[in-house]
Amino acid sequence: MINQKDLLVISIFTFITVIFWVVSGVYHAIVTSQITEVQEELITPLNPKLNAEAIENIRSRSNL
Amino acid sequence: MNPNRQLQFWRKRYAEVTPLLKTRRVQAYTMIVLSLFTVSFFGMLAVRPTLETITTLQKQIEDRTLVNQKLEQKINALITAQAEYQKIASDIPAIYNMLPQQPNVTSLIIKLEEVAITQNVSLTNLDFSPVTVFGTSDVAQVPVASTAAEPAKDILAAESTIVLPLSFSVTFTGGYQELVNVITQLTRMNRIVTIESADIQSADAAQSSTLIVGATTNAYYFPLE
Repeated sequence: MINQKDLLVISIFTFITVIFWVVSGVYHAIVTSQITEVQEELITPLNPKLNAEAIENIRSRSNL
Repeated sequence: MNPNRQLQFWRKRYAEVTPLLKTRRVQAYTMIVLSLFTVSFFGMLAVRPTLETITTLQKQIEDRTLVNQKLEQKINALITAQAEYQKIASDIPAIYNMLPQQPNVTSLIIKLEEVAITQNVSLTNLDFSPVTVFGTSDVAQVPVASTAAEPAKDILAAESTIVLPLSFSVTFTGGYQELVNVITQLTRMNRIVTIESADIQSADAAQSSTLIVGATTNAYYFPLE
């Protein structure tokens, strides 16, 4: 026969488990990125600056 | 079981339990246990999904704002790149000459011959490593430049580049100064050529003014597709 103390212990553990479940669910939602792979590729930074020194080097080369 | 007897049984049980429920200790325990179970129940079925949905939506807003910012930056970068490209538009043919999309072995040979003729030396030997002249190729098919060629190594080390080396060895025969000029001109051609190693030796013991220079070199090409 389950007495009152057992019920209390069970309810406390159930409560703690649910709290952990809620916290882990929220944490997982925070940590998981919502950026798709396609978006990841699209937002890859692009350096628009050309190497002026290399261009000058090309210009200065002979026509051979 | 007889319904009357059942009724009596439950009345007896109720009579036993009722005084118990009136004690403060039992009331407190019952309240705590029921409260905890209630909170757990609603936490599991209502609070958790709601909080997860809220957090997921907030995260989506944050991430999409970030993506939006990055895309704005990229659009600006592309506009700048377009302007930069326009500035060097006249140099594009020279750049494609420097790093063609195909091995262009024939034009390279012609350039080497022109260098030899210009400097008044003889092109006595020319040996290319196997190269795919039609279809696709990869680094495994064309030997990669050795570690001595630092510029080539830098290009090849870049993650996104697929610059392929075209190895060849060339031998020139002529006077010392002419050969020095040839070597200098090889590195100043309008096609990227790196010299990995070069050795110089006398062509003939009796005719000491004539020298032979053998150079192991790499030209490069950059298939865009």
